[in-house]
Parts: sequence; C-alpha cells; structure tokens
Amino acid sequence: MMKTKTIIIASLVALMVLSLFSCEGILDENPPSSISLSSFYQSEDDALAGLYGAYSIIYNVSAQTYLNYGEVNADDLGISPIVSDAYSWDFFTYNSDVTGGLWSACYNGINRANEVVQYTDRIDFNAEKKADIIAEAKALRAFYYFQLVRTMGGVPLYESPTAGFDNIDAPRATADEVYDLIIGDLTAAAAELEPISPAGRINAYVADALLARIFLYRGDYPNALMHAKRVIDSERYKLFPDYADIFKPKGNNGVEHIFQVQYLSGEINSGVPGAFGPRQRPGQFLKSFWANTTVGGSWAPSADFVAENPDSYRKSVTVADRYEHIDGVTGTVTMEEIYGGDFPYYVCKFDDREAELQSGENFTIIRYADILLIAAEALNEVDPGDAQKYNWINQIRERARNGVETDLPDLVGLSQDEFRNAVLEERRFELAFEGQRAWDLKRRGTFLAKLSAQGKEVEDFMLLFPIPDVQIELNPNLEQNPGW
Amino acid sequence: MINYVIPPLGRRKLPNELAKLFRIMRITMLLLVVGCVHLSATSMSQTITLKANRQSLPKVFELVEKQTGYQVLYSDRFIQSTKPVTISADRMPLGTFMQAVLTPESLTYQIFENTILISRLATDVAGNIDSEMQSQQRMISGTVTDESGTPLEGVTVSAKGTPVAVKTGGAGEYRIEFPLAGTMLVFTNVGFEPAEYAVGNRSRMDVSMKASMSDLDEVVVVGYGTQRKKDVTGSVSSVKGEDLEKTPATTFVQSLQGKIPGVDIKAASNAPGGGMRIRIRGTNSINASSEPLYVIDGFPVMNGGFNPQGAGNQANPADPLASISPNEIESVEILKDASATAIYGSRGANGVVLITTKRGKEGKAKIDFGYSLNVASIRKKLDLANAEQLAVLTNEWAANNGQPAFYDGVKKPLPEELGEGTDWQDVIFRTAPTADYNLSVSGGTENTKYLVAGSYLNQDGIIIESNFKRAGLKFNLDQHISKRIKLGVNMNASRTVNDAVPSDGTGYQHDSPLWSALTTTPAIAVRDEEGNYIHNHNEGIEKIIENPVSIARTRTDITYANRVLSSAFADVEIIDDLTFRANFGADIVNSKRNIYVPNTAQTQALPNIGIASVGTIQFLNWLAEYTLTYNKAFGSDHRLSVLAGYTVQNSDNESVFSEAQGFSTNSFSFNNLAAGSNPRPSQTSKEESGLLSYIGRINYAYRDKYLFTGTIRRDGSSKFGEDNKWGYFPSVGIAWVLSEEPFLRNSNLLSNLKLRSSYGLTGNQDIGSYASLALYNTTRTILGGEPVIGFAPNRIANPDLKWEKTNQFNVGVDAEFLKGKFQFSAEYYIKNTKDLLLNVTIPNQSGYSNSIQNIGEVENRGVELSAGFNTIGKLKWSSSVNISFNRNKVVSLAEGTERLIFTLGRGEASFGSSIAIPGRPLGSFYGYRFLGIWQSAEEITEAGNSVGGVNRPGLPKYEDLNGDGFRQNDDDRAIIGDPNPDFIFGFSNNFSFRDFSLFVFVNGSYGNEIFNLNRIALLSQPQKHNVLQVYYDQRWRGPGTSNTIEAPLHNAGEWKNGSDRDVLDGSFLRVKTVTLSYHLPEKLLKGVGWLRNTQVYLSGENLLTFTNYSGFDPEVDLYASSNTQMGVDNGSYPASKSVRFGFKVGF
Repeated sequence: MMKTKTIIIASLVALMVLSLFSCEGILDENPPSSISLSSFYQSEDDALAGLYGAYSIIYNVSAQTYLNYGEVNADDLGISPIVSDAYSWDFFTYNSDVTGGLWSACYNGINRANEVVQYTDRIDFNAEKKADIIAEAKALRAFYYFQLVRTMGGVPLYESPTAGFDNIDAPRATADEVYDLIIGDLTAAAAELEPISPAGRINAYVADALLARIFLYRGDYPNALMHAKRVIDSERYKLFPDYADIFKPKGNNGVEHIFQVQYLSGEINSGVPGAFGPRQRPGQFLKSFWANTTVGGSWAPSADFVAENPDSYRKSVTVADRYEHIDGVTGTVTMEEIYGGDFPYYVCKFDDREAELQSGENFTIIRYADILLIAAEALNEVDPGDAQKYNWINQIRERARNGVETDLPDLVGLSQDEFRNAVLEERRFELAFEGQRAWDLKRRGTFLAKLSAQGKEVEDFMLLFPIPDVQIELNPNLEQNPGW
Repeated sequence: MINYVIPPLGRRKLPNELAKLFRIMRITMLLLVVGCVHLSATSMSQTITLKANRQSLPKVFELVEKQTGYQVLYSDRFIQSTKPVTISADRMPLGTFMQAVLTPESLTYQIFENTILISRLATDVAGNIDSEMQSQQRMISGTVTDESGTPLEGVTVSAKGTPVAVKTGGAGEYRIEFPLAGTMLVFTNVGFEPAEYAVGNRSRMDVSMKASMSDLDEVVVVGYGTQRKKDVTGSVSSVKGEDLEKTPATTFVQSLQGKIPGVDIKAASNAPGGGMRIRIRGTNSINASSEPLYVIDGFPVMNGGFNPQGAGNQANPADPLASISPNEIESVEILKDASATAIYGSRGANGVVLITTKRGKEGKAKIDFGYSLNVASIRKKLDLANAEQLAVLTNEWAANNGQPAFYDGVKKPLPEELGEGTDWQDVIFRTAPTADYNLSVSGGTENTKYLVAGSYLNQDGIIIESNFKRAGLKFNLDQHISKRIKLGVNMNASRTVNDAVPSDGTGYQHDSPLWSALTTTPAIAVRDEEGNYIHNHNEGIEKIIENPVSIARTRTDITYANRVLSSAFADVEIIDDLTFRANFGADIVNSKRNIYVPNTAQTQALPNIGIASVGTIQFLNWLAEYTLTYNKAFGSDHRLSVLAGYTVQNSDNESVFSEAQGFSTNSFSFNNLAAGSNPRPSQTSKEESGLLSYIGRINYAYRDKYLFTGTIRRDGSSKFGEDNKWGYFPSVGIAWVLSEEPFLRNSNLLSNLKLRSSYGLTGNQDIGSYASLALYNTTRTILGGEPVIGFAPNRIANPDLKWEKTNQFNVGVDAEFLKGKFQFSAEYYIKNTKDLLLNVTIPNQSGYSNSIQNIGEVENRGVELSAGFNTIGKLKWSSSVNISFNRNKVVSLAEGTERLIFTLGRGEASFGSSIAIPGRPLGSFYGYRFLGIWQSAEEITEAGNSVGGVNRPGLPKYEDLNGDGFRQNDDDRAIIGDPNPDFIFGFSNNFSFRDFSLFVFVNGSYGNEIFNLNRIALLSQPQKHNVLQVYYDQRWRGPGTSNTIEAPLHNAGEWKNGSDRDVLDGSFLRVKTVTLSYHLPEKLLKGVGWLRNTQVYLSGENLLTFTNYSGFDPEVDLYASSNTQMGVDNGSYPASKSVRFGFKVGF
C-alpha cells in the first residue's frame, strides 16, 4: 500500500518538475545586451543609429592616422629628435603591414555604410528622409574609399554589406573604378542632401568640397573649380578673422570649417594636441607642458619647413621655439633647453594646454581656406587670365599677415607657372600639418624629388603604399602594388 | 534449546515444490542431529565476493546462496528487526563474511552439509546457555587502530570457534568475554584485511589493522553515479581527500599536482588564491577553453567569468575554485578517456574533474578540528646589479652616447661611493603567515546523516600587502523519509576576499611592486627624510618607475566574492533495483571588485589623476536533472546497470562596471565615484546560455571477466548556430579481466590483471554566448556637438557554427601483484580534436577582421604510467610513482592561414611571440636566433648588413634567416622553443613507524622551456632602470670582451627582439612536500574518553628544487587560460617556500 502511494506521489512530483523545466526555449539565443540583425533596422531611428555607427569609424582614419600618411610621410614633419624609443613611421623600409590599420578601418566603415544603404531601404518611413539617410551613408562610404584609393590605388569594391562568407575575397578594382563610385556617390549626395547638417555630418556642401578636392587630385580642374565655386558661391562659409582661432576648441565648427571630425573633452579626446606637443625631458622640465602626465609629443617640424616659411603671424601660430611653463611661475621654457641643443621647434598650432591631454579640439578634414586655394589653383589651370584667382589666394595671405603689411604681400602679376608654385607654397604654410602635404606633392609630381632632397631613400613605386601583406595572404585574389 | 523454524515461504522463492520438500526433510534431519553433533566450520573453502550497499539481510543471503551453492536457512523472527547490510567483500572467506554480516545483529551461523543455519548469538539468549560454559569465561580488552594509529570504530572482534563477538567503540576500544575454549581472536572490518591472533595468556591485546591492499572494491564516482573500480572500463583516476590533505594548499587543484598521471597542473600565479593552469592529456583547443569541466557533488560548475572588470590594474584574478576549502573534499575523480567523459558530452573533451565533498556517516556525532599555520618566504631572489654597479653602467651608457657622466661626484655621488644600496627585493618580500582553521561536526543514524563544517583561511602573500581570505560554511543532510525514498540537501557557501597587488607584466601600464622592485635603482632609498616615497626618477631620461612600496601600499585592488552552491535531491526506489533521482541545484556567485589608483601614482602611461572603479558580477547557474538507474544481477554471471537521464542547465551572467577619473582627493578611494571629475560611461551587460541534454549509459559485466560500458549523450547548446544546436556524443569501453580467467585465478603472484580499451567522441562548447549571431555593438560618436549612440555589426553570422569534436582512443592495462602489494597501470591514448572553434582571421575587406569557425585540427597522444607498492612490518612504506608523456601538435589550420602568431608578454618586455603552425606543438616560441654580439663594423658588413640601427658593434647579433641581412623581418624569425614538457612526474612516499609517519612528495617536469621575458627588460637600458647582475659582469666593452650581453648603447631597440637567448630550460625536480606527523598514542588518550584522535604535524613545502632555470621559479605561467601562450615568465608573482605546523583533533 505504502509503496504504491509512494510511487504515485513520486511520479507526480517528477512529472511536475519535468514539465516545469523541459523547455527547449533555453536553446534560443536572445542576447539581452545586444541587438541582432533580425531585430535591428526597423525604424528611422534604427537607420540613424546605423549611420552613426558608420560615422564612428571616422576617428580611426583621421587625426594621427591621417597625419601619418599626409604629413609624417612628407617633408615638413618628422619624429621628435628626442623620442628615444625606436618609434618610427618609416614607410619605406617596412613593408609587412603598415597599411593594415587603415585598410581594416576603411572597410569596416564601408561595410557599415553599406548596411545603412541596403537595410534602410527596407524600412517604411518618410521617403525624403529615407533618401537623405541613404545618400549620406553613400557619401560617407565615398569618404572611406577615398582614403583607400589615394593611399593604395585601386581596391576591392563593395556596394552592398557583407552577409556571409561568399564574397569576402573579391579582387582589386582599378583606381578609376573606385573614383567613379566615389564621385558618383558624392555627386548624388551634393544634389540630394540638405545644405546644412548637424556638425560633423556630411551635407550638400561637404560633398561639394570633397568633390573639389578629389577632382583636383584627378587633375580634373574644371570640375574642381565648379565644385569649389559652389561652396564659395553659397556664401555660407568665410575665413576666420584670426588664423589662430581655426584650431582651438572654441573655434570648433566655425564659419570656416566645412567638415570636421568631432571631439568632446572627456568624451572622445583628440590625440592631436598631445602628438604635436613638445617632448619633455624629466627633471626640471617634467610637467612643464602637461601638468598631469609626462607623456610628450612624437612629432617635430622639419628644419626646411621652419626655414622656408616666411615670417608672419601665421608662422608664429604654426611653430614655436618656446612656451610658458604650465606652473605660471617658472616663465618661458625654450625648446633649446628641453631638447638640449637638438632642433628647437615644436608645432604649436594645435596646442590645447588647458585641456591637458583630454582635448576636445576638432580635427579638420576640409575648411574654406582650402576651398579658396583649390578654386585659385583650378582657375589658374582652366583660365590663367582670370584675375579672380588672385582675389581668392590674397584673402588667405591677408589674414595670415594679420595687419603686418610687410609680411606676405598680396600676389599680383604672376605667370601661370609662378602662380601654380605660389598656390602650392601657400597650401604648404596655410594648411601646414593638416594632412594635405604629401598628397599635394604626389599629385604635383614633386614628392620623390622633395624627399630625396631631404636624404630619404625613396623609389618611384613608393608613391603608392603597399596593400597589407596579411590581406594578400588571406585573400590571394589581391595583387600587390608593384615594387612592394 | 534453540528453536529452528521453517522459514515462511511468502518472501522466499524456491526453485520448485520439490526443492521445498527436500528442504523440509533436511531440516527435520538437522534438528534431530544438531543437539548431539558438534559442527565446526571446517569446510569453508568457499569465498564470497559481494558488494552490498544497504541491502536487506535476506537479499544478502540470496546472493550468498548464488555464489556458494549453499542454502541459507533462517527464521523470519530473527531477521525482522535487522538493519540493512553494507559490506564490501572480495573473495572473503565465507566464514569471515558471515561473521561480519551476522555479528552486528547478534546472530551467528552454523553449516551443515550444503546448508547454512542462522541462529541467535548465544549471549543474546544468555538464559539458555549452558551454565557450565558460562562459568569458564575469560576476558580480553584492548584497542584497534589502523596502521597510522587512528582508532577504528565498529571493528568486529570475535572469538574463533565461538559465537561470541563484539564491536569496538569510538576510541577503538573493545572488551570481549568468551569461553575458555576460544584461543584465537578474529578482527574484521570493512576495508581492512581480516586478522587472527592467538590469545595466549594475555588479558590485553592491542591490534593494528592493515587496510585492504586491494582497492579494487573501492567505489569510484563516475558521471551520474558510482561504479566499482573493478568494473571501470575507462580511464578514471581517483584521489582521496586525505591524500589531498597531505599536500596542503589554498585550492585543491594545487594539491592535485603530480598525483595523477596525464594531468599537468601549473600555478599560473603564485599570488594568494592565484589561478592555475590545468590540462588533462594536453591542450585540445586553440581559441576555446581547454580547461576541464569541474563537477562538484554532481553539479557541473562554470569556472570562469566571475572576475569583475577593473580599471588600470593588473592583479591576477583569484581562481574560482579557491572558493572550495580542500579540507571539505572526500575524493576527487579525474575522468580522462572518452568512455568516462562522453557522459558529459559537449563539455567532456577536456576531461572532467569530479569533486565529492564529505558527508555525514552513521555513528556517534564526531567533531573534528584542524588548524595549521604556514609560514612562507620567497624561494629565491634574482641577482641584480647593486647601486655601484648600476651607476657604473649608467656612466658607461652616458659615455657611449657622448653625454657627461651622471654619477660624477658633483650632481650625484661617484659610483664607488654608493656601495650596495637598497635591496628592493628585501623591501617588498616578507615572511608571510597563513592560518587555516576548519571545524566539522558530522554523524547520523540509519535514516539521517548530517555534516556541518566551517572553515577559515587567512593567507598573506609573500609580497607586502597581498592577502587572501576565505570563509566557508558547508552543510549536508541525507534523510530516508521512507524505506524507498531518500532526500538530501547540500549547501556550500563561501566568501573570499582577494586583496591583490598588481602583478604580471613589466612596466608601461603594468607597474607592479615586483617589477618596480626589480627595476628601481638601488641608489635610492625607500623614503626621504620627510617620509615621502622616493621614485626611480631615473638618470636624466624620461622614465619613471614608481616606488614598489608605494604601489603596494597606495593602490587598491580588492575583490569580494560570495558563492553559494546548493542542491537538493530525491532518490526514489520505484521498484526493486530501479531508482529514480531528481536533483536540483544552483550555483550563485556575487562578486565585486574595487579599484583605486591614487592621484599620487607615478606610472608613466596612465594619467596620474586618481582612477577609481567598481565592477560587479552576478552569476546564476541552475540545474535540473532526472535520472533513472537500473541495477540488477542475473544469476552469478550477468550484471547489468542502465542509466537514462535528462538534464537542463542554464546560466546567467550580469555585469556592471563604473569608472571615474580625476580625483582631487584620495580620501574617497573607490567609495565615491561621483567625486571624480571625469566619470566614464557605466557599462552593463548580460549573457545567458543554456544546455539541454539526454544521457544514457549501459554497464554490463559477464562473470566479472568481460566488461562493457556504452554511453551516449545528446546535447543541445544555445551557443551554437541555429542549424547545429544539437550533437551526439557516444562512447564504448570494453575490458577483459584476465585474472578472473581460470588460468590466472589462483595465481599467487598476479592478483589482478585487466586490459581495457575505449573509443568515443566528446565535445567542447566553451566559447562565449552568441558567437554564431551577427550582433550590433554600440558605438559612441560626437555629432552635432554631443555624443550619439550608434550601432555597428560586430561579425558575420555563422548559422553553421557547431561543436568542437574530440575523438579519443584509449588502451590501458591495470595489474596488481601479491595481493595488491605492487600495482601497476599503463595507458596509451590518441586524441584528435577537429572542427576547432577557431577565431579565424578573414579578409578585412569584408568589414570584419575575424570570425569563429569550425576549422582546424589538433592532436594529442601520450603514455601514462603509474606504479605503487606497500611494505608491511614495523616500518611501513608505501610509495607510488607516476609519469606521463604527452605529445601535442597542430594538424591543420584554416585555409590561407599558414600559421597564427600570438604576442607574449605585457608591458615593457612584451616582445615575445608564440606560433601555432601545422606539425608543431601549440605554444611553440617564435623569434630570432641569438648568435652573440657584433664585435666590429667589419663583421657586420661581412654578414651582409649595413652598420646602424640594430646592427652596431656591441649589440646582439641575430641570425639572418632570409638572406637579406638582419632587418628584424618576420622571415628572420623561427621556432625557438617549446613550452610543452617531454614528461611530467610525481612520486609520493609514506613511511610510518609506530606513531610517527613521514610523507615525502616529489614532482617535476622535464623538457619544457620557458620564455623569460623579464630578461628582455633586465638585460637592457641600465640608464633607465636596474638590470641583472650578469649584465654588469658580462656586458660588451669592446671587441672580444663579451659574446653574451650587449653594451649599454642608446636607442638601439635591441631589447625589443625576443630571441632564443631568453628561452630557458624549465625542467625541474622538486621536493614539494615533506610532512612529519605524530599521532598521540592510545595510552595518552585512554584517560580522556572524549578525545578520539589527535595528530600534530610539521611540513615543509618547496624546500628543495633542482632546476637550471635562472628566474624566480620554473613553475610560472603568465597566461593561465590561453592555449597558445604558455610558459611565459613576465613579472609573475614569484613562488615561495614554506614551513607549516598543524594539528588535528577529533572528539
């Protein structure tokens, strides 16, 4: 009796608990703290969040990366003479994977942008807004492709997001094909997008400005002029009265800035002021520039740059041989003292000492002065007789001399070739250390000569960087650039 | 007269009516003759082999009948109130067996022809006993102990040839009165060899019983049940709790080291409570975990992911298993081959460690108290340059670089004025005590058994300020609520507090007291006159090393963890032989980690503004498990055991992390994050995973000769791709017990010989959740002047993602000679792991850099040998030795990935690499080949290099492997070492003499290499920090002066080259433990009835180590959990040696 009862009770209990836990549902994965594709891209907000995700890559391709390729790789900026670690950004002896970081960052951004382009289309919301988001994502994609193509030449082209493992080993397209996509996307964006946008996002004029630069690179001067003029004629932009203000956090997203990478102190800090700041020797100079750290800058201007830059207010804002000790008591500290007889200058243009190393200083991709110079250069090629080019370049020189009439006099009466050289020199000092130098030299064909003159061993093939070796190993369809 | 009653037939099934008739007739006959014929048990040549666990007496009789062919006759009246019998007998003489079974019930037996008659013991019916017999009694008393002198309770003492028997009491004492005719006393006890002694004229007889040599009757815990060791077909190693206690340690894993063949255990960090690296039969995986599965009292626990995030510090996390006190462990079983582990299916591939904790036993309440005090100190210091030598080197550096001398007698003293200077190692190392207390109360009745235990450990590390505390409380209860239903509960609660100092890594964000002590110049003192710490503000070059004492005393990294592992089960015997078990449990871990780095910190790479963080983990792992077990013997030939079950396990891990920086005051420490001027965004996350499983197992034995085990598990895991959630994991094992064959059965030499083999498939699912899904991570971008949150995809979805699969073949032989005096065991295995859960690098043009895919293959094969012997006599010596060889190699990797390279090291010396490449073992070191020192510029140009950079006279010369001169190209690197040992071994010895016993345990490893990254930094840059003495002695000072160590030159970058110069032999042989213990003799205890046993001991750990390794200790591993980064010495917390005093008391 007892036994039977026990069995019945036990079985009932067992059945109860069994049914309580026998749920195959626990095998389904619903990550509580992340979203998966199936639950994302459902609304306009999702599309925007995807777009913001694509923008976040911009930090990886701007600032130091941008400057390594555009400045350290050229003649005006080098490694600080007292950097003791064997740090170098020496593209010409290291093959293996120097471009690996840029490659993966750009493709990461491209894939994110492609997701926005493809999946936003499926969401049901206001058609106008939808078209804007898609156009903006394409423009951002173009920006990333531009970083790749100017560095390494033709690269694999993807216009839709990676969804599986099938098409992840596409071969390289030609540089022209890549430029066609870039120009197509930016042209569409210039037509589709609004003229204004929240700071740091691409609008119609950002697209025009980028197109102006790209056409200049391509030697397509009529188009470069056309897009530059669209920006100028919009009258939305003008030069800052004071050259020094352009680079300070208080000037962020000012009237001169067309497209800036956004920083916010304490949130996302810019490493640029720190990288340019003086390298400090400890002892008495310890914490003379930064209060809370002994980390100093890695870069210093070249002697050529300092020597060839005509004296002006602009030069004094760009490089300095001394600075005020941060304690406010010691007084001026000279670079001569700090560097102990080595080359006594540092780039002071981007100083943001108040913020220490938590700088909220934006990084400029393109600004109005650049557009004026593109317009002047392009006009000189298209119609050398048009005097409008002097107007554009002299606006910049006027601001640079800051009321000192003897400095940087207005240009007048130059031959086409003289003007061509004058614009390049103007770009060199106006846009110094903003990441334009190497590209200007390369597109004008003087890169190799300039660097050879500085004693660097360069060869013809080095105008293009190598495709990362690791990527070629992973994808044998990729062909290395000749020479590497 | 004794009344014999014909047993009622209701419960006894007789073969047929005829048999019944015969029996009645025979009994009648018997009754007639019994009064006048004296029967002695002369013909008891029969033996019994039987293992009964709570069997009823009639059932035992039934089994006796089957084995002997005798019929057992008894009256139901006699056995009505008898208790269930628990006995384990192996070829025990029938007489001894019957006595052991019957005496406790005050029954006895007599044999007539083929019949065993059961009767009441004479003393029980004293009134009926012949008065003459009673008048000629004699009395003997004494105590019974085991070999080590521990009193034995419950030993049956019987007078041979008489029905008289008694049992010993709690202190092993007995007193027996028996008829004068008796001349021999027989002592029997389960687990001990029966002993007979002639009484002679003595009135006192103290007896020491010898444990049964044969441990074949032992029961071992296997997955989801137990099995007789004899029946095991797989590779299962068992270590008893008492053997673990012989090598005391903070975690039981440390105590397991060297005890089990095939199990390689190394301390990853010697910090208090620090982590261990444990590999059973080699490393299977590359990216998934290769750690075994731990199962505590039937609950498979997760062993990781509990360490909360922390900011800015690098203290090694405590081992999660440190939450279990080793004193609470009854036994540890290690399942190695597929036959044993496949029952754990997708978690079995790395081996399984089954931990069984102590439970209450039937008997009087026992109170046990143990205490030990361990005093540890640094085992070995490094030979560093002293103040004078370093100053000489600094000046030499200055001279080599055209700078004025730093130690010039003006700004700083001349080198010779400095002398020895501060020994920073002496400053941070200390003699560190560890106190360990444990108390347990246990006992029970037939129906209720309980155990309550508490423990407390307070361990100081040998580096100042490091400390680990653990308090544990354990409770379990077993209760029979009816004859067929048993309930039980288990509860293990612990709290650990790990007050860690940073260790691991070398400088540059990896400041630690150890590293600063090695590198800080001896020319400065610990504090200045005002009591402020003096930091190594170097000799004019921008390098700051924070004062090691300051790091230890002013930074905080403290982790609290509360863990409760509890479960409840019900066993229901549905019908005879068929048991249903439901088991529910939960493992709950709550931990919190607090960190504060004060704004006075002098670290170079962190902002010295005050960094505080708190991180918490809330972890829940629950289990529901239902099993049905059927155990049945069919006749004497067939035994069958079948298990079927269903289990569900689910885990949830929630984490919170907050950090703030920028504290103007250090007074808040981590307790007020809002006081930081720069709060960081808080992070929270949650991860879930689930496992659904069906399990089945069949054990079949034919005449104990041929054994078969088949297991299967079907696992469904949430972690895998939609199309591959389910997997099957089968195994088969067979064994042939040759010693049961007629031709060996009566061998005196060979008492057991078993051949066994198994093959099966197990899996590995130890990767994070959601690895098959494409998920979106949040991104933070500044747009429009403020942070906006975006989402970005993190990987390509892989719906095909599935189990990593391990096929394992095992063959083994077990042998015992001379009744267990010698034992020998050997195994050979081949383990092949396919479909690795490999984090494959994919073309980055996809927008992603890698993806977890099932690609690649790793193989382990090896041999394990173990042997043991026992001697008896006054001086007893038992010894066991084991040695294991494992060969690991990568068979294949992903297509297009020829090899995988992993960086070794953290911080300043992080310039080592390891490589995974087909054909070579995992973890192989990869780097340059050191050839000596460049003596001259000519030598450099002759070798095809240009002078400059890394190739200058006085700098190291490395082999140019690609023929383009040495340019630090990848092609100039080669495989330069192997961290995997050729073999590992353990050797333990027990000597006992009277009340003393001595335990000596030796273990070691041979042929493994260590990448000593510390040397990379300590053989360079004397202008920045201190260096090894050998640098001073052997540095290059001009052509022909040295070919081993470079000159102090500026900006050479020479120290960034990991080369075979720093790959060192890590072989060692270590006398790990020597313990001398003393049991208080009985005589002393006799007066104190309440004292059961007392033992005092003194032990030394790591007192003697033989090794060529020049670092702190050859047992070192920066990476506890990595499969590809092993044998790396990089600022690790160093090993200690220690002396322990302890005692145990039982009441």
